[in-house]
Amino acid sequence: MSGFFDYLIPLLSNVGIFIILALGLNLINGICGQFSLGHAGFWAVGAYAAGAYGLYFAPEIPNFINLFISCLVGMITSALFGLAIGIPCLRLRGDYLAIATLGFGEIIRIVIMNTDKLGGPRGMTNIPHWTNIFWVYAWVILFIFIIVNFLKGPHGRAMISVREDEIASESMGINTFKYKTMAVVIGAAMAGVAGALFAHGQQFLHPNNFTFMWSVIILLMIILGGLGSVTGAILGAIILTILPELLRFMGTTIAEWRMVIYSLLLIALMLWRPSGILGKREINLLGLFKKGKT
Amino acid sequence: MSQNFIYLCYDILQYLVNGLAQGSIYALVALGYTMVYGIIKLINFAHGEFYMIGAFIGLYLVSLKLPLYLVFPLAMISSGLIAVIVERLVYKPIRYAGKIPALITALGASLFFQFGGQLVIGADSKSFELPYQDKTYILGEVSVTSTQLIIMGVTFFLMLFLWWLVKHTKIGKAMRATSFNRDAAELMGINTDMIISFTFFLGASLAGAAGVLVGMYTNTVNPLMGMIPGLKAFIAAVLGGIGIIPGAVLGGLVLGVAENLVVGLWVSTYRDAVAFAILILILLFKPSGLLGRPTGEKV
Amino acid sequence: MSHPYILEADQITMKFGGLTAVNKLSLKILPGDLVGLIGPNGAGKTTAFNMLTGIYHPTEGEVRLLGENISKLRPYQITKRGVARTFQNIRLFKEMTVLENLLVAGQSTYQSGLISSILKTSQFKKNEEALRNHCLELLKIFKLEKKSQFLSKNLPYGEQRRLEIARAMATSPQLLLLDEPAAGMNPQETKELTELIRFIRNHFKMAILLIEHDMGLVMDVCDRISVLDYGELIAYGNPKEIQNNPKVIEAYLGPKEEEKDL
Repeated sequence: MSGFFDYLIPLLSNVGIFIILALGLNLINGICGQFSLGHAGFWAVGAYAAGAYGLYFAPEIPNFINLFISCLVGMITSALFGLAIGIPCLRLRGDYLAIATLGFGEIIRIVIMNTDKLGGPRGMTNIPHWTNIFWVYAWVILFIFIIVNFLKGPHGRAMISVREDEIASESMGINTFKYKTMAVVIGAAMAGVAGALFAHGQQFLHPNNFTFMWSVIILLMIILGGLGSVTGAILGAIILTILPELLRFMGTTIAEWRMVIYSLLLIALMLWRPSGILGKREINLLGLFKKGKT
Repeated sequence: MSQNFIYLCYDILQYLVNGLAQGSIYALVALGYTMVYGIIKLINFAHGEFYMIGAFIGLYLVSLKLPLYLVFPLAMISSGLIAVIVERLVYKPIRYAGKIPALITALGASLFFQFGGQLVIGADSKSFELPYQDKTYILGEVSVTSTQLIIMGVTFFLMLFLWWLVKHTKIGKAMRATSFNRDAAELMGINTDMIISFTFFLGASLAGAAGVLVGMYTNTVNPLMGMIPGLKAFIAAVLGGIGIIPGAVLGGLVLGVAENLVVGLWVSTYRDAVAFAILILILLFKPSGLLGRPTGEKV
Repeated sequence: MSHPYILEADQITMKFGGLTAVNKLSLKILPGDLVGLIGPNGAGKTTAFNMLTGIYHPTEGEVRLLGENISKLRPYQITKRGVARTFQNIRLFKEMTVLENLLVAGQSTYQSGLISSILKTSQFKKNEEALRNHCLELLKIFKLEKKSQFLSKNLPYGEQRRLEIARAMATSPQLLLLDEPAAGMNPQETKELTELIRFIRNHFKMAILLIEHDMGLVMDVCDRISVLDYGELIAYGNPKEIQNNPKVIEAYLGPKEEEKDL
């Protein structure tokens, strides 16, 4: 039985990490409508920043404090990257923005590959093991709380209006550039925390963990759940993290087919259900998404 | 003049030669990107995969001891036909759904070929045996191989052919009309669906030729080989001005040369970053590309 | 020194590459004015609008709002200074409700901080309440209050037009720019719109600049009319003067123009 838990708990941790990643990308792509294909880059920045903190800077203090500091390090570093990438890129629209963010994601990976201090092509090893499932879900709950309240307030409304029609939004007094940047910075910050939790869970980082492929998988999560829906992003993250494990139970051949299945899923979704499982709706557990009175 | 400076000049000339050979391949792939974008405004992510397919078909045909003058047309036609099938099955139904769904679909198609390819033909690289003895010609301190000459020659010939096709044939005129205004072209009796499929065919067959050439150049092919060159060729197309045919050629050559200069004069591990850095610079400072005109959104 | 004009366009020119879309256009709008801007198709009316609202920056010339040069400002900054607009091809926030469309437009007047909106402080709740009331008030005036929870894309065409005006009004403007508000409307709807424009002007005591193809509407409501043709101002005056101006008649009925614009 303990063997089963040894298997289950890391899996559930991963689910939590991907929920954070999907929530962040959903804010950028689904809520604000800025199509980014570089989310794995922000994830990598957070993971490596946290890994570097764990390896080189961490003082002798209780693990959970160190983990908290490490998450903040990952969050802030990644947010700064989001700012630095967002300010130039967000002048672009649609498919051009997608390609530019893809480019930045790849550049981040290539730079890490060429940085000795970060392990270069050998990867970063011996990162202290601080992550546990409790702290992963503490962050998940914190982020859900922040995003839900954010979306119900004026800033969330402004972000949605940017997605709906950028020119109209700007003409209604919304500083669209500020909100687009805000979406990317918050999304990147969340990816940074996810990276830190990932680094201190895996204890080993390699640049190839953060290829463009992962940006696509996170994108697939939010599309599957329904672009723009918070519960959809969570649902998508759960499904696409558990699914490969189920496929593994069904035999190795199917696991090898995983990416082929994902690619067909992506195409099938676009052809038959482009709005995903939930569309822009929310699953209303606990009345989290109750509309204010009118 | 100092000895060192002369050697540096020779080195730079050598990088130029290597860059032009590499750039010719990018240019061939970029042409397909640019033509497809010009006609349906889709970034065909899967375009790099037609290059990979071309390389594998080329490999197979060469192993059958077919002469090169048959290998190229056959590889080109097969890549082209596969592209048309993809276009009809997947891109056509999504054509009016907007840019982002189309982009995601293309991404899906690209992943399908990469990973499907790994399952069908195995993930490891296969070596591409040259059907001829590769000679190296040396001019001063600069060397050029017969494969490099073939690459540049084939590219030049295909570009001339494309130029003739687009400018001087009826179907070329129909392509230009469709790209200019699809609805108007349709009203003038042009079968735009057919023209779009033909554009895919043409673009993918050029990519297929590039695939065979790159197989000959690097002597190795694998199912993931299309991804990075595909992205780079897209960057070349953006660099030259997407939708503009001479722009794709210019962009491809500039990118090939820039990459080889950076690798030669600085560090080889940043090879792949050069293209992305160029992309970001061009998007920020002249998003319409070197040969393009600025356009704005209509309000 | 106080500025008699709300908005003043001083010799503004817009060039796209070699094409001059608007050439040295001057306009002056007084508080409470109702000015029409007319001209045949392609005369540069919408381009002029886009220059006044910051979507384009004039290649030459200056736009002044109460004496302040706004030609280099971004659209949202101009809106915050009191200029609101509608669009020729309705640009609503389609997936948002009717009320939310207004809330977005109104919220710069009732702005809350990022942190306070996440923590839902009492100040934030008070702000939101005030904003909501302000918007519901407007919906009532525009007879849309029953549909406040409808997604705006589900409204019929005429109501979408009205909602766009209501949304512009939610920014609390001093000057309202209407870009072909009667486009696509039947005579009955146009008549209602005429009443609505008059009502807005009298009720809110504000200036309105109107681009319109429908001559009846323009002649009916406007105090003064500017006529553009090929990017140049060819006539200016009250409706009577414009109707009898030979240049205007030529622009509309000249050999190259179709009659449908009249």
